Amino acid sequence: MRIRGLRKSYQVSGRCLEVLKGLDLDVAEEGITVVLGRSGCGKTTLLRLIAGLETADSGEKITFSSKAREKEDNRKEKIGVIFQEPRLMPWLTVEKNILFGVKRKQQDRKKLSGLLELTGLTGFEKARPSQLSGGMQQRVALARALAYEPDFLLMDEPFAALDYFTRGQMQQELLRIFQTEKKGILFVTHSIEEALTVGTRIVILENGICKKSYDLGSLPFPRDLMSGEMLKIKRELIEQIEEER
Amino acid sequence: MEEREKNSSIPRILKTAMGVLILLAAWQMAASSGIWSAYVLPPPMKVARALGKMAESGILFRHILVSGRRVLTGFSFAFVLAMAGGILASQVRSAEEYYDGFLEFMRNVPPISLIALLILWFGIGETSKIIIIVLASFFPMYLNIRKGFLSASKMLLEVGCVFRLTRWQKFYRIVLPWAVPDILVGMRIGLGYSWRAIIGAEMIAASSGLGYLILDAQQMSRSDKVIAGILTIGVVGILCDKLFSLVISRVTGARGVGGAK
Repeated sequence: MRIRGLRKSYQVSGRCLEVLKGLDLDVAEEGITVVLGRSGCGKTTLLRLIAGLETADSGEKITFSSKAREKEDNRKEKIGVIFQEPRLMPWLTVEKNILFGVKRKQQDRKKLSGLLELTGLTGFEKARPSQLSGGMQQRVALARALAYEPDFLLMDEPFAALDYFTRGQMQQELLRIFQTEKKGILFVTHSIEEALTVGTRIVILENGICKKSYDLGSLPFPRDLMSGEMLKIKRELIEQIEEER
Repeated sequence: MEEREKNSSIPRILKTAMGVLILLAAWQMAASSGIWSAYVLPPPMKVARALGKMAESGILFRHILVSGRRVLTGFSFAFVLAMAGGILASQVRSAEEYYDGFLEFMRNVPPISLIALLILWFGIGETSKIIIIVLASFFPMYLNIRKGFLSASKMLLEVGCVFRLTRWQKFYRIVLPWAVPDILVGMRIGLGYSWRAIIGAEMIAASSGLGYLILDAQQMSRSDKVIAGILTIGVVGILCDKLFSLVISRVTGARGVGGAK
């Protein structure tokens, strides 16, 4: 996925607030690209623009070039989104929530069972969202996005509302799913630790542009954040973000 | 504290029965005090006898059926109109600006005040009676349905956008299920209003129905029958209401207290 010269501004109290100022970004088709930045730096706006939930300012474009598109047909890329909140349909069971984005004719019981197993939800097919914990609800949202078979997965601070332990568990599950599904993932977070735990590439977003990027593809999972190498990168990331002040 | 716990252990149905019994006792005492004549305030037993006689002869059930049919017809028309109005208000936002003023005006006009005009326009047949019920039950349904549709979670609608649902798909897969509790609440209130309007509706040259029963009894100076008719409307109304509240609690209970997340 290639993004070039992305611009977006909002009118706030009669003033024009430019959030993205000609942002360029490449998202690997088989990797977890983490966009890291302070709150309000435009991370979520970037994600919403890619997901098509908002439109970029005139004259700027988001372009895609996925393998899937090249080898299949000229359809629009399928983008799966996992929001900060699970956003499940409260009137639907877990399995119906998972299949929400799948056309009736394409619904496959076997695939559903596989997803339930992958996300650790086997046995909860008939449960309602209100009967699940926050972590489980987020796993349903993850399964729903995967059931859609997206070319790219966008994740907007998906574990931010979870407690420390559930968050760690979900990060490991994400890595497990990533290794199985091999999707291109754009993961937005403000947590440096989270970026280091799941990212194959970390991009620092500052002032509406990508300031710097770090390639962590050579570092295997699971990572020890207390190792010398990781601590060094962490220090660098903190320095980069601190500089923004 | 102990007293409160003991009190809360009394079953709800027993508490209701106790309330009714106290009311009946007060009614009996007032009737037998001699302050009012039996015509003004007939004793409960006299009303019960009148009720029993009407039930035995089948007249009461015939009136209930006739009124029930009218209520159901008027209520159904009102529901269809309220749904159409709600869908229009939620899907074509500017459309509401055209009819909102008229609806607001009509909402403040008591349906009974239109009886003279309705008779002039539609005659003394069923149409005028049904229209009275429609007018009485439309507004609570419309307002609740509209609220249900318009309050559909933007977050969930965005999920629909992500999965590239069409406008119509978003409506019937997200907005409509979201609004179900409000629709049911509106229907529950609307049905109650329909029963309340039956007297007004059956004031229009009716020859059957609970409203007619009451009005006829009034003209025959049979206050026991008047009260029997009122009690019947109340009981039928409660039964309908209970049925709806059961459906509502099933629907909202299945969704859980948390709602959309």
